[in-house]
Amino acid sequence: MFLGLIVSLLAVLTDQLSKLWIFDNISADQVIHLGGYANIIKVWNTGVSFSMLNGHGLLGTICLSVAALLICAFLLYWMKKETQKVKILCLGFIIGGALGNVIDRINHGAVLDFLDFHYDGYHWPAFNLADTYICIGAFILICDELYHEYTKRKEKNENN
Amino acid sequence: MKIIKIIKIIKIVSALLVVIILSGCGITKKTLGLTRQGPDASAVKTNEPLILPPEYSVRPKKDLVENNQDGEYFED
Repeated sequence: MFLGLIVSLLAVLTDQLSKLWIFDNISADQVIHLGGYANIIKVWNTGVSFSMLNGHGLLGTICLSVAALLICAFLLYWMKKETQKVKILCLGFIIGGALGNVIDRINHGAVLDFLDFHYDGYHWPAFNLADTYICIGAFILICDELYHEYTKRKEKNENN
Repeated sequence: MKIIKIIKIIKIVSALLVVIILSGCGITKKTLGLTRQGPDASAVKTNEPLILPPEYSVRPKKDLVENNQDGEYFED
């Protein structure tokens, strides 16, 4: 539990610091090119992933923030009960990322995205460090779950 | 066995839903100016009905019309 909380705190801190730097140093229409496949830009997203549920004003922001906080509460409860270190770390990453985005919604009414990756004219939706933490945490959680299922089945087959 | 599989699928789908709700990646095309801004069909002004210009019966002077070889417009 303690390890998870430390990871969450670090995730929130790094996310907020990176956003603060972008907020202070990048103007709305400025694009910083990083090589041929990445840019740093400033995009505000009032919705969820891929700009879904965008443009619902204050009510949308409140609903999404409350939903995110409820999910965080559930994940914290899960983290408290969890015994596996890997899962605790993943939950810490997800909670930290989620809180980073909630802080943005409360402060600015939208989430600040700044990492833009593209190839051959196709742009992946811009994201931030919080999104990265959430995706990494969820990906490892799913992989861990599938791996445990696989090893369980293997053991069962060997015993039979 | 089937129930366990269904629970696994529900768990994975829930994890994906959580990712979608919690993360906030946004479409960049508008910021980078990659969206095409064509004319808005609904914003096109409707044409006014055709009317005859005032004093339509007044014709140009004959000599001016004859001298107008280049098809230029002469005002009275």
